[in-house]
Amino acid sequence: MAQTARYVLLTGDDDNPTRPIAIEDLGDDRYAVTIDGKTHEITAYPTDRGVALLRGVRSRDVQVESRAPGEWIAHLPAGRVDLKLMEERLWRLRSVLGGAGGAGDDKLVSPMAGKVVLTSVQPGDSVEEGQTLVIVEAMKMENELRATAAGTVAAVHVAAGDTVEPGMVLVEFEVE
Amino acid sequence: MFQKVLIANRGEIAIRVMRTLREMGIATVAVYSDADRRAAHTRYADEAWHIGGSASNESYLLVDRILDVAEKSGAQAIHPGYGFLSENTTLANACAQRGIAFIGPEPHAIIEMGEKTRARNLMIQAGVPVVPGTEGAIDTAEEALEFARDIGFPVLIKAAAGGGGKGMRRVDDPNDFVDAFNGARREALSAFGNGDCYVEKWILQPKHVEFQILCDTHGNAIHLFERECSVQRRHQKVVEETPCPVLLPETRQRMGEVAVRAARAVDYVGAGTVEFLLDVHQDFYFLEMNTRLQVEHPITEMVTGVDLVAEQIRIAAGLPMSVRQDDLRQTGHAIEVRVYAEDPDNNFMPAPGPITRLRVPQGPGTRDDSGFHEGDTVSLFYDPMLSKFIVHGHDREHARMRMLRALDEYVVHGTETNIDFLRDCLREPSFVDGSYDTGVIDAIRTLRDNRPPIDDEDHLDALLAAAMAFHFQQGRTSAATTDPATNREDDSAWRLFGRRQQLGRLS
Repeated sequence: MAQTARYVLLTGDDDNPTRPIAIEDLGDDRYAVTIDGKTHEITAYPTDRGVALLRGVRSRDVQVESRAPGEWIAHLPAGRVDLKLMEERLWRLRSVLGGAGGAGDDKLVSPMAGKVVLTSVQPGDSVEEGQTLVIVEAMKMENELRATAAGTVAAVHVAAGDTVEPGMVLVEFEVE
Repeated sequence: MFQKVLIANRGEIAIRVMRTLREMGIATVAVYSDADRRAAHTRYADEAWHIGGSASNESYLLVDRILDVAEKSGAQAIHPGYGFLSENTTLANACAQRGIAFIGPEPHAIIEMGEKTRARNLMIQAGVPVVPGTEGAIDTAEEALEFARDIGFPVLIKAAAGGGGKGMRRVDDPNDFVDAFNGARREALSAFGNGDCYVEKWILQPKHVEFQILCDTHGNAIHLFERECSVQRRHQKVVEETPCPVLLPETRQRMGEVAVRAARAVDYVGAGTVEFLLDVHQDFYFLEMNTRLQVEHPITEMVTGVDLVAEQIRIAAGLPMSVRQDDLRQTGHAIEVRVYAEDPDNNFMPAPGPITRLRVPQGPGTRDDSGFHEGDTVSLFYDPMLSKFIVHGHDREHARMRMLRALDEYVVHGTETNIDFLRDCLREPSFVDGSYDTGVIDAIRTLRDNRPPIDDEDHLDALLAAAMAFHFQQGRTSAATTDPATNREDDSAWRLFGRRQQLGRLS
């Protein structure tokens, strides 16, 4: 009995936001995977590093992991590929409901846990791209956190001596 | 010989030391903090004693508590590993007072070599070449700037009590000097409790070449050749190799002799490392001496066949070392990479977190000195080095290709690592031909930023594998929750979470 599961790859491209993927189970670890209308007959099964693929005679034990639902990272010798996948029906549902807004360059977020050594800006200051805004010490090393875009500082949420966690918003600004 | 030894350290180096102790038939005593109750070193040991809180100043840096454990457990010696108390005279002195052997140099050697300006003056007296720089620590940024202008930019600001890159800054532009000097002072004060900094000339295109030395209490002092450690990020070594690809035999011999002379100048006992800068003319300058085992010691072990930890233990037990200078040869080539939980594309920031999957490379010529198991968490309390991974080959290119092969086998999931960055390093043209210097990190960065796009076939592999992994995951979750009679899904908490997240409804 052949079943077909339908997914979409989220491309991040507004004009062409998804690419359809259909996976038909052929039994014995064999699948017909159709992407953009082209069908690939493969053998695939989970392994201790990700997924083993046999595509014709091309054999790859591909290293893949997921750290958040739907978000996949393939670690290839040639580099890293990040992919966002979703069930097709969820995508349709989301299209109807409207998507969520994304985070932009208007926030400086701490990438790490540590202690603030100093903050070099105040609300109202204008900053250049690449300017150091906050220094966070972790593992006894000072890490300079820099502005990713030019703009004006709207708010500074931390002061020297504060403990910060990964993902915490340190500085907000209005991007020029 | 000792029957029981305490290891005053954690992680991979604690395990590295315990492995040799086991091979020597010596019982092992580990100490652990709250965060390390389930750590790899805690479970590897014969005995594991809790010594305090997760922060290292509440556990691994508490000399009295560690000595109490040594006495209670009946350990006759303490191995400090590297970092923590390894270059701390308090532990070395207290061991001497309590009749416990310290597996390391005597306190006077730690003091003489630990304070950089003092070490420098000693080396000048012993006829060891040094880099031009200030005689001692400089108090104000303005004075330091004046000196820097005199010797000419670029200059290097270094913490007098420093190590591991902490409190070190290179300054190219005089306008950046004052900020950098003050930053280095702050970092040094926070890391070492001593903010003294000095300034020295930056040697252009230098290689970092260090010599391993061993001295016993019977008057024997030898070197075990060099290690090239020029690949450094944030002044910390990332890739090390031996032999140094450009070192001429006569330079090697001279440097080895000077390294032994440096050690003898402080009546050194035990294993130590004399670090030099080597310039393009094969001139070399003393940088510092590390009075401990180095992270990168395994590459020396691979090419000489000498177990440096075993020699340390023999020497601390008062025995003569088991090797002589004339017996030593460099056989083949060894490369070590330090695998870190860090993000190489975000200024190598530490990336603490859970290791959900860990597979270590195997096969010919590989050695993994690891401090983690799958399921462990990389803690923000300690250094984020997961492992030092070493290969040995019959020549340099063999070792390089072997390392690239091995890195493709290395699997760490759950956290960012520098594995992909290490691949770029091993492919960087000046690394490939061996001519690289301590500035190679910028070239690696450039290579990484200009990588060719992943080709269509590889990209299709990635997409197929991710799609299949997602499909298997969906199948697993729905198989567990689908009512086969109706084929309707009974929404589990996990599915609900995933669906809400995908709908963008999670705040």
